[in-house]
Amino acid sequence: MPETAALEFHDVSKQYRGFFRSERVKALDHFSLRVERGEIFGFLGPNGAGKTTAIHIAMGLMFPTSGKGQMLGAPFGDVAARRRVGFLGENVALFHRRAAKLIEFYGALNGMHGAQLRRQTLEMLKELELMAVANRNVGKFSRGMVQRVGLAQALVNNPDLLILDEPTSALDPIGRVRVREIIRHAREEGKTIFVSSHLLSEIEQICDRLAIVIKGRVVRVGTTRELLESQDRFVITATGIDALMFEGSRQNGHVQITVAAPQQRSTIEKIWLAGGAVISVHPIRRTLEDLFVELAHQNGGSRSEAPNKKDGA
Amino acid sequence: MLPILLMAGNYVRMQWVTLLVMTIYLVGIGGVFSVHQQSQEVLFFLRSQPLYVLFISLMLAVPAIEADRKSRRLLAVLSKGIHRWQYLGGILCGCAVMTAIFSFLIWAAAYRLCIRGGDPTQGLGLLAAALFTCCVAASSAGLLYSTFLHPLVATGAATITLILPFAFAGGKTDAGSANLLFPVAGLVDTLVRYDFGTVDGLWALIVSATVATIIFWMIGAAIFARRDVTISPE
Repeated sequence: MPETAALEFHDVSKQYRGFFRSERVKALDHFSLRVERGEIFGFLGPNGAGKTTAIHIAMGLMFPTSGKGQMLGAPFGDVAARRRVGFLGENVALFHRRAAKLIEFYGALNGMHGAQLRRQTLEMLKELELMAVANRNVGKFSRGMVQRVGLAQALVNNPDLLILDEPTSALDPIGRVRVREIIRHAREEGKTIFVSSHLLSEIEQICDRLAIVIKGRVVRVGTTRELLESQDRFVITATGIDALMFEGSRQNGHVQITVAAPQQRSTIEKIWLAGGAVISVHPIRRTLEDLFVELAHQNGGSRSEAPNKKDGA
Repeated sequence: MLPILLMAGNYVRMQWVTLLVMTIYLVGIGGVFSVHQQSQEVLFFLRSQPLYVLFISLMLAVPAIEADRKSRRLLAVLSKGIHRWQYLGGILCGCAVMTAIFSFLIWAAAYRLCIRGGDPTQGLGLLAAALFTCCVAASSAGLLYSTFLHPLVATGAATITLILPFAFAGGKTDAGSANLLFPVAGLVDTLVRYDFGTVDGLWALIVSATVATIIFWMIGAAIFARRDVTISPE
C-alpha cells in the first residue's frame, strides 16, 4: 500500500462571494497537488493566485466550495493531524505576551506539557536566537523578531509537516540564512516542509520540488531541476572550430554555441565536419524568475506584483 | 479542558485594561454611594450597577472573535490542535472569570452599603450569583451571534434575544415561565423591582441561565465549526 502523501489537494475549488454582490471570485479552480513526505516543497504564484487560500484550506481555517484533501493522512481540518503540523501564516500576528511564555502557550495548545514543553521552548528560543529577548513582550518586538517568534511557535511541537507562508519576508539576510538552515535541518530529520514564498532565489536554493499556481490552478509542478532546465534551447561547447562561423562565443579556449532544440543535431554534425570536437551539450538553465514570468505571461497571471528575486523590496 | 483553560487565561490577560477599569469603577462607585446611606440610594446602586455589568459582559464577548480574526491572531490559535468549540469555550470562560469578579465586587459593595445603612442583606449573595450566571448567559448569546454576524449586528441580535419578553410585554414582564425561558430578562425584571430581602425564583433563574449559556455555546460552536475564519489577504 503506498504511503499517504504529507499533503494532498484533490480537485479543490474555492469561491468567494461578497455579501451584496452576486459576482463570485474563484480563488482556487479544480486545484490538485500532492506533496510527498520528507521533501521541501515550494509553492509559488503571483499575488491573488490562491496560495494562501490553499494553505488555509489545508489547515482547516477555510472550507473548500468543492473537492477535498488530506493532511498527514487525515481530512483537512482534523485536530489530531494539526497537532503534528507547524504553521506559520503570512504576516504572522501573535498575542502580546512574553516571548517564552507565548511559545509555551502555543505548544500547550498542541497538547504539550511539563518538562517536554519547557525543553522544546528553550530549544526553539536558542535555535531562533531569541534567548536575549525571551522575557520581553512580543508586542514590543520588531517585525523580524515577531517573525522569529512565529517560527518558534510553529516548530515548538516538533511537527512532522511544516507549512510556512512567506517565512522569511520580514527577516534580515542573516535571519534568512538561519531559516534556510532550519528548513534543511528539518528535512534531514525526515520532516516535510511546504513553503510558500515570493523570494524565488530562496525557493530555488532549498526546494526539492515546486509548484507554480496561477489563477487558482497548478500550471507547473516538478523538481526544481526539471523546471529550470529548458528543453527548448541548448548550449553546445566545442573546440577546434572558428567561433564566428557558428555565431558562438569564445570562452576559456572553447566555443559556446546556443541553438534551438531542432538545430542541435545539425549543428553538432557541422562541428564534426569542420574538424572540431564537441565537449558538452547542456540544456539552458533558466532562473526561477524567468520561468515564473514566462508562465505568468502564458497564463495571463502577470501583473505588477511579480515576485522579487532576492528580497521583498 | 486544558485548551479551554489556556484560552480563558489568555483572554483575561488580553482584557486586563477592561478588568482594571471596571474594578476601579465598581470599587469607586461603591465608595461614592457609601458617602450617602439612605436606603433609596442603596437600592439605586443595586438596581443600576448590575445592569451595567450585564451590558459589559455582553460587550466583552461580542467583539472577541472579530478582534482575533481581524488581527490575524486567530490563525495561529486555530492552526493548533484545538477544536473551535474549545476556542469559544475559552472566550466564554474568560468572560465568566471577569464577570465573576464584577459580580463579587457588586455583592461586596452592596453588602457594605446595606450594613452601613442598616438594610437587610439577606438574598444579596443569591442575587449576585444570579447576576453572574446571567452575565455568562449574555456573553454566551453575544458569542453565538458574533460567530456569523458583524459585532454591531451581533450586539443588537443578542440584546433582542436576551430581553425578548420586554419586546412583547411593553417593558413589563411577569416573573413566570417567560423569565425562565429568558433568564437575563428575568433578572433585569427582578432588579428593577428589587426592594431588599430575599427574592423568590432566583434559583430557577440561575439554573435557567446556566442552561441557556450551554445552549447558546453549543449552537455557536456548531455554527462556528462551519465558518471560514479567515479571508485570504490576496
